[in-house]
Amino acid sequence: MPDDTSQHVEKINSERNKMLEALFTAQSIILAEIAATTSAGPYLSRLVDRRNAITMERNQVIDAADAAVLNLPTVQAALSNLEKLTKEATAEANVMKTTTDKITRATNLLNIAHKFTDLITTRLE
Amino acid sequence: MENIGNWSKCAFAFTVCLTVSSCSPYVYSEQVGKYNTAVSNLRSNYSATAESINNDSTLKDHMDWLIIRPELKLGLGCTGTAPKANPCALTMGSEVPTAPGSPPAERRDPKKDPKKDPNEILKVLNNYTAALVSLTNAEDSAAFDAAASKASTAVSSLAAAADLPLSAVIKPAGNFLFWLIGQKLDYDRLQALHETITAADPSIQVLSVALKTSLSGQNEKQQGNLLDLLGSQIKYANILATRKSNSDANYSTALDAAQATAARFAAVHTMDMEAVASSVGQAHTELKVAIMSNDGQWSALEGSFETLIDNVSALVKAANPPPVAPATKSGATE
Repeated sequence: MPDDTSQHVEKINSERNKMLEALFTAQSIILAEIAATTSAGPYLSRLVDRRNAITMERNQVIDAADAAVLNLPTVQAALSNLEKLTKEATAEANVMKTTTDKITRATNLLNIAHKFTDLITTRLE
Repeated sequence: MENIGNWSKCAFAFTVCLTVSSCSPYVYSEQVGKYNTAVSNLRSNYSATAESINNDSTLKDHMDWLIIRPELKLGLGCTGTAPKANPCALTMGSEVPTAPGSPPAERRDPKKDPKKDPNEILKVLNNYTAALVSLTNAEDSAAFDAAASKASTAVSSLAAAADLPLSAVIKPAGNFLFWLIGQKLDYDRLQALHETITAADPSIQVLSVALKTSLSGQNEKQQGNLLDLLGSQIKYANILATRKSNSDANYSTALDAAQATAARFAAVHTMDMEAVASSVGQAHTELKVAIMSNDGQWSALEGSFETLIDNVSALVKAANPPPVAPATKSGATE
């Protein structure tokens, strides 16, 4: 188990979750206030603006945590390693297809040679 | 010298194939295929959820505008100079289009910086599992055998046409030679499968840990958006309820929409995204153990796959819940 990565990711997730929890509380308060506001007007508009700002803030916190994890050297190294292994495995899988193609092309040539030989033999007879 | 080395390897492969019960990569085809399908579904669900979050956000704006009837304006993307990543959309409040010639506000384009896109992890994982599927594709071996058989027949026919004295033994010799080549190619694929899975496992474990952040983050975003949308839908339904000119049908539709969003929120809220991410790593480890031990002990592997498949299925179901029955319509007077 990649303990080093786990610790880093857990720390990032923990910090992110604390922020999200605080923002969730703020979001809930605003939503309750929106529900309690009986008439449309500048106050309701401001509440909606505030709620949208909180949601944007939540999304930015989430994006920042994603970026922090993706930028961890171990994660970048794992992505690179997996991409390299994928290329190698794909190349190895294609060797049999390439060989099959070569055999098919050679067979076509042999069939042409066969027809040619038949033609020559017929003419000589 | 290289040819001699290759043929020694081939002879070794042949010997191994005679002594080992399972020397074909194709026996793992089903298991590798299941793993690929689960990862592929996870990846497409991630993209579908991202799309759904955007749609919910647009719907939420629509509901808000119905409620507060603001003065609408053109969004930042509605200028000729706006980056293509900025879609043209209506906005309210302080967001105004930039003046012609001034630099438009930047919105991050994941295509420009692919490593910053959380879906990159799933993309790399999915490409990897697809490569494993290629290695275990028995159809390639069958195509090779068919081509080899045709080639052997062609050689024999040509030898007979040319009246070569050894034409009777050329075809059997050709068949054996092609069989040996096919065995070596199969053996190489099996070796590649072993080596790839072993070398990839530590990276898969790192990425499954990183995936916890991506998946749980997306889940949090979706929950936040659904909660906002639900708040707006309830508010709108309450406004309709107090309007004297409003019909029961409109009120009923508004209630149904709010109930559907509440059901979606409940489904998304109960998902354990960290368990989903962990099951990706766990299933790979079991796949590695099963392939390396090569003793037919698939029970642990099947258990891990079931967990992974169940987790992904639950995720897809939560993202696409069945429509809520319009129970409120029974009391409505049209």
